[in-house]
Amino acid sequence: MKKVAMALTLLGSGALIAAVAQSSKPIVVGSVGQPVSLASGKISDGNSIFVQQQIYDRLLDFKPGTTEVMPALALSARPNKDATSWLFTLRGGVKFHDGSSFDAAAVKFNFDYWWDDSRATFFKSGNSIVPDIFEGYKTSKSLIKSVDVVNNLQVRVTMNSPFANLDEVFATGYFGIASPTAIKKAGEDKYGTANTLASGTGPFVVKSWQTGDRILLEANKSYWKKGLPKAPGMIVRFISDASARVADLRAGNIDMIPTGALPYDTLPAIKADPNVKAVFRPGFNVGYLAMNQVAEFNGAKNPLANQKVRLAVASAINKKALVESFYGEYGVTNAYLPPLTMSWSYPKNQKDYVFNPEAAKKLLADAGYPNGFSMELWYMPVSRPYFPNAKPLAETMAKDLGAVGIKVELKSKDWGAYLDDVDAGKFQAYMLGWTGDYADPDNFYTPLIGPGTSKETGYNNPKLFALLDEARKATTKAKKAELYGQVAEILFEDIVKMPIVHSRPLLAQRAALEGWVPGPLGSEPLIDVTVK
Amino acid sequence: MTAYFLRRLLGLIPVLFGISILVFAFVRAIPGDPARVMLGERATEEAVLKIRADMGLDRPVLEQYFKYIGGIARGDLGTSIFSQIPVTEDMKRRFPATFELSIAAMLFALLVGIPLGILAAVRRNTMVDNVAMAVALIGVSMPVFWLGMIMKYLFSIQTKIFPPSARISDVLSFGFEPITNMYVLDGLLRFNATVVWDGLLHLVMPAIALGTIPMAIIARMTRSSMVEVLSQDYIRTARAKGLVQRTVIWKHALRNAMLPVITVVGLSFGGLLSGAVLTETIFAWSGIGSWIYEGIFQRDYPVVQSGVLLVSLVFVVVNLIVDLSYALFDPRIQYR
Repeated sequence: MKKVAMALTLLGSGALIAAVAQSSKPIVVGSVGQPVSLASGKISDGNSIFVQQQIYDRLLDFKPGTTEVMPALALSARPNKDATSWLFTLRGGVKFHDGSSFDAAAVKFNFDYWWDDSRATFFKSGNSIVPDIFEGYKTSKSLIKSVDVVNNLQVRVTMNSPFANLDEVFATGYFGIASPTAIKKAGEDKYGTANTLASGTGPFVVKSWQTGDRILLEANKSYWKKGLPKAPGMIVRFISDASARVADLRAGNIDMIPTGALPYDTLPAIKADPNVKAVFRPGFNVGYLAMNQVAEFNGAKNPLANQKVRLAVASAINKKALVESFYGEYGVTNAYLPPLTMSWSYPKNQKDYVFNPEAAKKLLADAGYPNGFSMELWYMPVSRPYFPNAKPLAETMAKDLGAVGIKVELKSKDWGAYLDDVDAGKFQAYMLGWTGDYADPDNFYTPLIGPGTSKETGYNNPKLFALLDEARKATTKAKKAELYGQVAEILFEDIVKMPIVHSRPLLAQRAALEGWVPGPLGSEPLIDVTVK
Repeated sequence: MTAYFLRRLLGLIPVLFGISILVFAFVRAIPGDPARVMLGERATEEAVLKIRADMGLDRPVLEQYFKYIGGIARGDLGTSIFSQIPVTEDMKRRFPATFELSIAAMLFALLVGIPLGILAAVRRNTMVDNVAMAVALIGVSMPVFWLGMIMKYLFSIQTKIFPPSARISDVLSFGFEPITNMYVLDGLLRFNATVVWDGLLHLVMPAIALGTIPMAIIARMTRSSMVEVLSQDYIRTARAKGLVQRTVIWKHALRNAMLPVITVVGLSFGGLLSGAVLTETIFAWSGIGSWIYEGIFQRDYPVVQSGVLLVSLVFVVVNLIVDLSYALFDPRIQYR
């Protein structure tokens, strides 16, 4: 009997079986990989965020296809005059999948789960995204001062300094509200794994996670948005190879590829097939070339420590041709880390590095490298929306640099080790990127160039950090634009992470699928999606 | 025979012990920290250190090894760092998937490779021989990835004969209770013809992709072995006695020609079990190869160690069975 129960748990629930039997179709999603965890607030990878978007609701949400905030579990989020205190008024009558009630205490529990590192179990449950956004946990220098229950349906978040876009932060896919009962039952360190699964208030209930294969989700029949979700369930299949995902889509085995990014060379096959459609997510990312500025590298003088050399590199790479040939109309290049949707934060006089090999050679000579030099350039071993295939891009950049006398040794390594070495500042030059979480330039500057990243590139500019701090506190768009304009101008001169591309990630769906409105922020709950 | 068998079984212990040391060392030699991989791209140093301590990774390596070996002795392979599921549970789901695929691939390799090799040997130096060996050459040179994608294009996208990936249709997987986790066998055991047929359809392309290289090797080995046997005196005698060609080949020649082929089959089968990662990736076949592969990326030490140990165990057991099977084909062989 136990075996039967276990098998049923593994293979799906009765309702989903019934749905399949009745020919109403669950959505079959082809995902690039499996989630790191289903524990909300503890992840930052796209695969986890996509599945969590289906299981959890957040306090606020983004209007479909936009970065505009709308109510979700919170009916309203009101800041005080200087945005140092935010009052969240919650929706009543909402239940978690496990039957427990959503209320202010549950919200506070979730905040503590993400943020309160004074508890013994805190670190066992994984790393929170909180320090990236709020600069620290509760016991360290966090921008959050306190989280207090005002009454059953109101929570006040008090900040140590003004935070004008806190509502946007709590609309991001990181901060789904999980059931405190489920977390306590599973244990903080086990919650969100394939063994314990997860419980939210979201449109779909997770029924099983067969590691390496699939996750099964069933429609939440008690969902507070009446009549939604439209699909009876969802099967998230993990198909790591991009061409295999496309083949599965064209063969009708999966209905959509909503996350990750397909290489642009798959586009002709997708366009030629009347049964499938190419879908472009609005661009909200940046792929960049980082240059380490430490004085010595591998025991020798580091030429990149010299600003003239970095400018020579920037002048030697034909960014425009690179983006045109690899991205076509689906990528743009400029000199700014935030994407074009935030062009209001660019300086008034916009400029970009001009491709000029002769000028690059002169700069190298002026810097004391008339015969060039040798450097390592690391490229990512994985596909990301900004760099779906980093290697050929790296090869093209190496060729451009070789033309001015900079001999490039291309290198790559396993992704985990790659990120470790980026963090530890072990790469002389490397490719990486970022997809935005919310529509504020701070989300592109602080995680990429803020004080926490100094070790990555040896870049430490107190003036810039002060500007970033001031811009985050600014409550008017005009003030923000002025400050971020100054930030961009400083970075244009300092050349730390040279933006290469802002891309529109290529996704795809079956023609028979309806209701999907891809937004710029990486993924979305598929509540309106149906498969004919 | 029994004494030989027991001696060989005992001989497995030091082999597996050696493998366990190698695997344990190799897993720890992989760059990257499991705690950091587990915690994500933005983990703080403090969080990483706490998780490392919690996982016992801050203990001396020897202490970690003996703890691991002690666990194996008790039948406890540990718990996956990633899924928090006991490794044995994942193994029960992943290994049968690969085993089923490997058996299907080997069946394809044998059913195509042996007749091809015999045909080439019997029609030696003719156009038939040339064509057969050209097929074998192409087979052995064909990248699995490319073959898989071509088959998908032809048989899944264009003609929709075979499904492009997975082990069973999504619709059927709901509500079907597996017994062994080998779906074709489970369909038979449950008298469910739909599952058997669906499972077979899903097996065809991955089995061909995985079995093509062994098929080519078996074909070439069968040919060369048959050519040698067919030139021997006893074959000439058999023909002189007036036996028909079919009897000469299938009864007298093939059996003697099989010994080197069996050796190749044994080695190939072990290789199929451990080397199916590419095939599993292309066909989203959630087997032991992709399990170990994922484990490496997640720095999931218990998974990688146990997965490699299991594959090694199967490899040596298969080769032991091959050694023992020689006597079936050649009664002159005795085990002492």
